[in-house]
Amino acid sequence: MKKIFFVILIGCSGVIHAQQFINSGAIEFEVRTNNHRALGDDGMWVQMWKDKIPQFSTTYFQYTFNDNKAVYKFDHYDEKTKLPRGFGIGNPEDDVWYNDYTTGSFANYRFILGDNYLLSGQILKIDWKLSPTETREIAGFNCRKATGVIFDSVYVFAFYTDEVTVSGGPMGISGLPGMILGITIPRMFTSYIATKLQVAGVDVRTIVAPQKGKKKEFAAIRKDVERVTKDWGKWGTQALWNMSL
Amino acid sequence: MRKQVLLALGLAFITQLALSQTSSIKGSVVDNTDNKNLQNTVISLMRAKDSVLVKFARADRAGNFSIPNINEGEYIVMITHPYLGDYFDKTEIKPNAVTDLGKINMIPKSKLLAEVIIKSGSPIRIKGDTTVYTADSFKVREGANVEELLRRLPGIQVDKDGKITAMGEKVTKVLVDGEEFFGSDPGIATKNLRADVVKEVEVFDKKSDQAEFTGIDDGVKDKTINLKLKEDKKKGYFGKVEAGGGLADKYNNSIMLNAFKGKRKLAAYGIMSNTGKTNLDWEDANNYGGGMEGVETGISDDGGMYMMWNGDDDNNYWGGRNGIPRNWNGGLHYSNKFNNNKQSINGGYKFAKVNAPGVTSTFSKTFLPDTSWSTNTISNNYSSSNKHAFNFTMETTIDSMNTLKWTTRANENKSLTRNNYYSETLSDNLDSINNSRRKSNNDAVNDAVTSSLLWKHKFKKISRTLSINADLNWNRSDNEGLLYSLNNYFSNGIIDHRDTIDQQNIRNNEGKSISTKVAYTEPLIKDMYLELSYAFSYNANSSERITNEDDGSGKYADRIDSLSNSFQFNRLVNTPGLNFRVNKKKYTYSFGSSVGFSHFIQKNLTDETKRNYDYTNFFPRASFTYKIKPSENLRFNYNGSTTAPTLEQLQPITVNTDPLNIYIGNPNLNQSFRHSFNINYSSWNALKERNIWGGLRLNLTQNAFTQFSTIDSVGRRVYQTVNVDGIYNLNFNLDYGLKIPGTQWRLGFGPNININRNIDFVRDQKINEAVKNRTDTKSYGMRLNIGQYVKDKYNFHMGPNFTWNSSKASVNSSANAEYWQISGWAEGNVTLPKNFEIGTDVNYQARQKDPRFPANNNFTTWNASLTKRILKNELEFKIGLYDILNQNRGYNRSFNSYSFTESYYNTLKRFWLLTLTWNISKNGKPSGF
Repeated sequence: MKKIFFVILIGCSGVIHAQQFINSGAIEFEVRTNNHRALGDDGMWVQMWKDKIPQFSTTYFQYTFNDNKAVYKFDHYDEKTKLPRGFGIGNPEDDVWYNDYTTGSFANYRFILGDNYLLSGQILKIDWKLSPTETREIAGFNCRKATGVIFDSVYVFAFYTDEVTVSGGPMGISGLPGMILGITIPRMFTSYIATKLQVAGVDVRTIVAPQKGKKKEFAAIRKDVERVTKDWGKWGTQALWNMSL
Repeated sequence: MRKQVLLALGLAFITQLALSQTSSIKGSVVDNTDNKNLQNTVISLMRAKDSVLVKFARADRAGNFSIPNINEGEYIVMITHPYLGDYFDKTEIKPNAVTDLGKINMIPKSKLLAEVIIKSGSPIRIKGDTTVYTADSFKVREGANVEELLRRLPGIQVDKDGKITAMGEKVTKVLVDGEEFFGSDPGIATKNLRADVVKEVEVFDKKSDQAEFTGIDDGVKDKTINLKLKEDKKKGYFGKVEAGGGLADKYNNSIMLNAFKGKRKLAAYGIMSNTGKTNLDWEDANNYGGGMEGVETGISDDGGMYMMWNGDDDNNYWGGRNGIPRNWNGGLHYSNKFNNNKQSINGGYKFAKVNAPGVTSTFSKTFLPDTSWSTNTISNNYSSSNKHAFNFTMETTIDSMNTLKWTTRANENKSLTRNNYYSETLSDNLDSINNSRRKSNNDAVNDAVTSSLLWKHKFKKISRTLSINADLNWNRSDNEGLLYSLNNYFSNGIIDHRDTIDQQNIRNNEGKSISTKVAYTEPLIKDMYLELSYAFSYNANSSERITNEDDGSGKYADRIDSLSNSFQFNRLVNTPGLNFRVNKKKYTYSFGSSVGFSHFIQKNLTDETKRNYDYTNFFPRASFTYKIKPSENLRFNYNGSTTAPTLEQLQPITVNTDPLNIYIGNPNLNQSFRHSFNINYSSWNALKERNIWGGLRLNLTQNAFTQFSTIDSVGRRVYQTVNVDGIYNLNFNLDYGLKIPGTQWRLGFGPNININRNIDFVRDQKINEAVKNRTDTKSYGMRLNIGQYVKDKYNFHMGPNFTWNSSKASVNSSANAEYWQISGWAEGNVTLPKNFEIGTDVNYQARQKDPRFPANNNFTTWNASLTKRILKNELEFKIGLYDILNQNRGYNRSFNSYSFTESYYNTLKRFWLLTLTWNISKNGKPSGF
């Protein structure tokens, strides 16, 4: 016995486009970090630095997807809010995230605590709790909200659109019925929001797995990082989360 | 064992899954209204109990879908399509069955919209609106908690269980100053906080903490109350009282307190000690002394961070070497921030009195081309200084484009020294050459004020900046002293003549300077910048030296003209500069130069002569940084700089305060110019816990300042400062640290090389020929350290250092020396049960014996302490034993061109101290300390 118990209106764009579903394109993500919150409150060094650095920093990343594969990498800084060298965790400028959503595996070129690695492993599995009635428009797409928990206790708020048929998202965050165009991770004081999605004229040849870097299993290096950062307190935890995304 | 259980459980779970994942669901979607193609419609399956997405699929071209391998259970089916209304259905999946949802008719949004609008009498919702209550407007009884306050606020209800409802909705979160208060349970904050600390109560919807900082609405619709606290209620204090006493008559007492109230901090401390604790240590300076005031942090031009320590000698009341000090210190520090931290002030006062009696004896040998002799001295001295220092800093952010910073320091140091001195110079066959008995005292007052104002302006165009700073400096030093000296000179071991000096020395110095610098940066093209600067400075210095002798009546009223002089030295410098800078991802480089146009004026007020002269100097600079990796870089740097001679070097006067070493000023000195080359390499790898730092530095000085000495037959030296070329210094340092894999041990290696060439001149009156003496000193060393640290358990570190020293003087090879030097230290502490802690450290120093100095100067100092803490660390007892072996020695060996010296000074030796420390606090130590 079937029973419709819920019909909810989403959005108010009454106009119907004869638009196609998207399976290939490029998305620009605006990554915004609250530096002051990330620094925390403890210690006078922190207090001194807070006055010197902008409260928010913005960085732009490019996400290119095609054929259920995607590459995510650094594009440019917002010069106005750029942090001095050595601040923040990791250095994303050379990092490359390559995800193959068909096989569920990734190959990432990452700078981790002093060296460049070529990491391989299985894409993070996240239990997404859907809140289908909560929606937001991101980059012109209507997105639904999903909430997930990563690394045991870190909440991830994601917004995805089913207009894109690739179930992807920035970094290793994925697994929703559509493309994730917005992510907020409060405990990492960072949000990743798409500013535009380009469909035509995208060079999909750039979607190749990185080759350089010291080859390492992700699980193995995570163990190493966990070991050396365990006495670093808050910074250690952030560094660990950062490398695991 | 535990792992195995988990593994077994996991296996069981997987098996369970495999067995039960046999059900599936299928169906098809249709659009009866528009007959559209519904390919790619998303069918999501959520667990009914928590809406967690389990599986999803997209419909095929015909609108059919199927999702295989589902566990049995209750599910919600959600079907979504960008242009169609969402479809929700609850379904139960039975084991080993195919659930067919059949044909599902999707309704276009346009149609849906019309239906909804007609049907709904849409409820009123408050969205993004914040209701703010001012707490003080609602009267509550004395000592009431926040819950009672909330009950009084219209629109808010609190039930008997403490559940809060605002605007008819349940409040799920109570924040304090925007932060969660010990977790998100609303009751914790409302029951535990007193109502009178609350300034405002804010009620709003769905502004969850994450939305607040990202500006991104994450859709959380929690009704939230935010309690904004009154600034002045964040108050408390912390501090410590330390009383230490021991044999023989040793004490070390201190009291420190910091009271905070909101952003305001007020700290005070007092110390009295005769165990060498002459100031706050680093940690205490930060807590109670405004310790960070000398530290400046910022962002450099090439995008790096820097940290600068303006090491002013305020914090160094006592050299820490000569004698055994007894000291009294005190300080007061105040800081506050206003207007959302846009304005801050920071000020302090410090006082220190140090009395230090001391005994120093030296043994030295001097080698001239054809002769040599030895000199022994002993000095009994006493010094006492009283220092007052004030500092004040004000910073204000005028707007996002302009900041202003004003710093002022003022200090005064009054000191007196008394000295009883005896020296004798002996020839190699132990005949006397001269001896001297001297008694002197000196009273000095030094005052200094520095003030600096900095304005920074950013333009709308990124990277275009302007900064202007202006500095004012003033210092004055007044010295007055008496010198009595009886000097005997010998010829072939038989007294030849003697002289007596009985005089009053007065010396007054004053220096004033004003300087200003304007710097402007213009971004030329991407990653390339042009920096223009202009600096102006004016220095005026004057020195008056008056030497008086006894006029016969016991008064020092007769001026000795040959030893008195009044002199002025003024300097005006204009320095325009130009610099290019390129910041690329992999490298940055910069090059440029400034040109200094200096005008010098020397005025001899005594004989009314004046000398004007000009210099034009180029100050080239260049740097190149290659960023091999984010964690690895190589940097090269060059700069040229000048140093003007000091007034003391220039003033044409004879200074005879040491009758055996007479100084004559040289008004014909040129300024010196230094080229400095630097190469640095650094690399770190946190994962391998390894770091390398290496640096090579070469300094070459043209027209360097050096001494020209003339030595007469009775061993008396007359010297003057002159210019010379060819002085250089080469320095290499490496630091390599790593953790031995699989252990807790950290190792460090530090090879270092130091090569120095000094040139000076000596004229032996016997042969009356000036000789250029080249002194090459070299040292090759290796620092080692090894250590282990386990948090809250123990730590252990030790580090031997090996150094080979050599010194060669061209004037006489007998002055050459070569020797090994070994020093080592070890320290460790262990945390014992019942809050006991034991700590010890050992220091060892050994130098290869020099045949010219037969004494053995190797010694070991060993300290140990036992600490017991009770009442949650509030009280601390410590017994410390210092220099257990009673071997501590003040000793130094130094080489100075054609002579070398060993000196001994009295220093603290074995003592013990029992210390009781009471740590007090109310409301703890706030963050930000």
